[in-house]
Amino acid sequence: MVLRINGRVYRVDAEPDTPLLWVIRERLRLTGTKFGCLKGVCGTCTVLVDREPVRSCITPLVAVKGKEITTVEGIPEDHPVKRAWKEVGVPQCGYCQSGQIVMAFSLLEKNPKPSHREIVAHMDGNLCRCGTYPRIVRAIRRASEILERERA
Amino acid sequence: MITRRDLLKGWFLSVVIAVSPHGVVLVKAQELRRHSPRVWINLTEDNHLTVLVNKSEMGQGVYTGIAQLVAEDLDFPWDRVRVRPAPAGWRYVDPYMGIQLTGGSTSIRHMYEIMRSAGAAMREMILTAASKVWNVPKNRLKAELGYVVDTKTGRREPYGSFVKEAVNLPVPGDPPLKQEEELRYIGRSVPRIDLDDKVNGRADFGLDHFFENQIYAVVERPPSFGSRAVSFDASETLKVKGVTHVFKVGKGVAVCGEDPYAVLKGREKLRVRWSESRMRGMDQKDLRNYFLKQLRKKGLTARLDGDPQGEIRRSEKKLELTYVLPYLYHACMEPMACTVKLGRNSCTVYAPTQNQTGVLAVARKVTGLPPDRIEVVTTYLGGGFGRKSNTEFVEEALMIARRTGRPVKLFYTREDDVKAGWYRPMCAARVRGSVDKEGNLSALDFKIAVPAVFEWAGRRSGGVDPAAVSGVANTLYEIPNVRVEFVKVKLPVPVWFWRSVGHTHNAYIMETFVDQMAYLAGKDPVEFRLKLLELNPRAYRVVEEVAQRSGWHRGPLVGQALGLAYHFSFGTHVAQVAEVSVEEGKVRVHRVVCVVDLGPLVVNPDLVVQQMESGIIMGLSAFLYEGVRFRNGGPENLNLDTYPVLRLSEAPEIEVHIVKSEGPMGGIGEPGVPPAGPAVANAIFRITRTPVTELPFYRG
Repeated sequence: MVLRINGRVYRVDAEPDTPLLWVIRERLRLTGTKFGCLKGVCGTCTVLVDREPVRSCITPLVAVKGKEITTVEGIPEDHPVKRAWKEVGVPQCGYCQSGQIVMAFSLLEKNPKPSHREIVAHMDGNLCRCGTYPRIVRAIRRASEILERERA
Repeated sequence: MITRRDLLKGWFLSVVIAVSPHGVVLVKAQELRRHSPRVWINLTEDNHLTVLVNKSEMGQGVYTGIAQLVAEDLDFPWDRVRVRPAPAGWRYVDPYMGIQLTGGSTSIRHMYEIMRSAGAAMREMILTAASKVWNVPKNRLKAELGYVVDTKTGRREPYGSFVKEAVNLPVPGDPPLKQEEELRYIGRSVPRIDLDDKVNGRADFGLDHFFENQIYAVVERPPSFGSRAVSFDASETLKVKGVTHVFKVGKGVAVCGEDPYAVLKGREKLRVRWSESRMRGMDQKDLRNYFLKQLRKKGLTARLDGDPQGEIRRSEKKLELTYVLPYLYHACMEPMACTVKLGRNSCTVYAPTQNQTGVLAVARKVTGLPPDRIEVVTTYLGGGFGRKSNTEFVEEALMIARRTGRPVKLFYTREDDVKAGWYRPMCAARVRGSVDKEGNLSALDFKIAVPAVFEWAGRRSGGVDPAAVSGVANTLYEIPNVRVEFVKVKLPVPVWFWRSVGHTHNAYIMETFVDQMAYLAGKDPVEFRLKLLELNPRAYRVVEEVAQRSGWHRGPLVGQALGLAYHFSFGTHVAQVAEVSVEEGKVRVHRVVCVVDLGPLVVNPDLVVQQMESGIIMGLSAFLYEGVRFRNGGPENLNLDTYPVLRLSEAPEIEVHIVKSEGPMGGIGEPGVPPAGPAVANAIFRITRTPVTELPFYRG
């Protein structure tokens, strides 16, 4: 099967019901995407499929056929989200942060000026055991500011 | 890791910290055998500094803190500093512990002088070398951000230019450290050194290394504690494409195969017969009764001052409360995982471990190899919280590799991780207290029934478990009559260290009970505590300061209540005030104001703030939601949908104030946790007038 990830094309031989997570991580070795629950409840494995965030641990391979997948590695290093994440100093252990960053990126792509309420609603399903939540909110606000400044 | 090839490439200067029975000495790598590099800090000709850190990075920022110490006294530009995990080996032990382990909020406290001295020694060698090469007196030279500067002529050269000359010099034994006013990094919020890795998905954790020909493994674990696999039927499992091996390992059954999905599918078809256990049939209510019954047993006395029972009997204002607190699961976002490879005469382990010494020991046990044939690579840890100082997952991975003859990636699913146990112990406590005529706490009689964590960790059996009574037997409150009694609970549920250990339950019990006593005495909780802390100026000050910073004396906003808790743990004083409302039974924590005193020196203030934020959120999470629920002798809530942790929408606004004081340096990874739960509980009491004596607050 052919997969399009971060603008590259990969050929993968795997069972169609294989969760996308395992293919991305273990076959293609894009290990930025982590696993947390294998049940779609923690958000750690979040990737974008045609710009929509999905939980790759419960997304079968067959469901992403012909679609464009974006992982944390596919978000440019100088993107405002990543810059804001560093400026605010969000990550602690870092394990959930790929999912958080992908999730935040998807929000700002559609809504570059989210309200506090919108940020909370969008990010609420991504768990973080280190408790970086207050900084995640700050970093998204900061990224939004950077975006606005750079568009002006 | 610094490889031999790196070392032979060009000139470099390495300073080694040699830990011997005679103490800590600094030597050069070149003085040691070339093929066994064991450097701690390494400076190359092209002016890059590498610091090997003997502590595990699990989010607490230790790579940054340790590198800051070296860069400080070497006076080196931060953007040219790199860190690597130190290999496992006796040369990298924490000299105060005698082992290589990250725990007890001790890393910076233990490594502070050593790492600064290593940087200072290197700086002195570079300056001496420069004075020789330039033929100028050394006192005319200064070290400045990676450059040697001649203060008379202004001539500047990078440190790296002098490396070739410096390697011939002796390492100064007692190099001078910078004076406080010269400090450049210590005390500043230098950005974390792992930021780039962690925002770009490049940080490698326990499953992120790949070996050729590797297989994946999961282990089916017993549903009840105390039980083990007797026999199994793998006929259907082995029909799943990609499954290669099924066999017993430890108490369970390993399923191995060519890809992770195959082993998970295969495991679903596995049928295992489990042995009987005395836990079988035990549900949560049975467990609760069992713990409460233990309180009737006579325990060991951990402390006895005065006559608390007599005082309480005679007193007119007294109170007795019984507490039941649950087993807590660590819920690291990264469940246990380990990647290993065995060669004919070698063993390589990639593990997210807090305990390199323990990993070496299990690797020796499983392989029979001497330590110099065992390579341990400490990956980043996707959360540790104490859980990853246990090495059972590494041992399992090695046993599976030995049996299959293939490199192995062992991963725990979330359910496996919960079923493995190693929880914060459950406990029951009966607490009595009295207040005298002046309204002061006159007696405390504290009895706790709890498993002995330190015995599970290998301490000799018997006596009072230090964790069981920590924070109570050594409370800083001045109470004239105190008794602390410990009853050891013996159940086959494995317990372990959980961020702040015994302080998690004891601070909760103490701080809610003290608040109840203040209420009974008709006193303000701040004034009541200050009276008890008059002899301890550091404790007194954080309580006073948190009251002021939180607007305690102005009182809560309409519809809210304020709750205070103070606790001393790991050398650090922390006081927190929570602003709470309760609407239709739903608790909302709006803001937490936190004052922390970790002594005279704060290496990186923002990392301290991060650890307080992290501790408060974890403490709040545990208070509201967390508890392993038992059914038939094992955990029932096996994933994050049924073992919820705090979500972003529930996180309070957090304000952290660091106060400095004279005295020894305290730790920071753990002390933020203990006050959070009781601060919120105390606020809830002000609204509901019902003390919260059983946790979690929301019980399904």
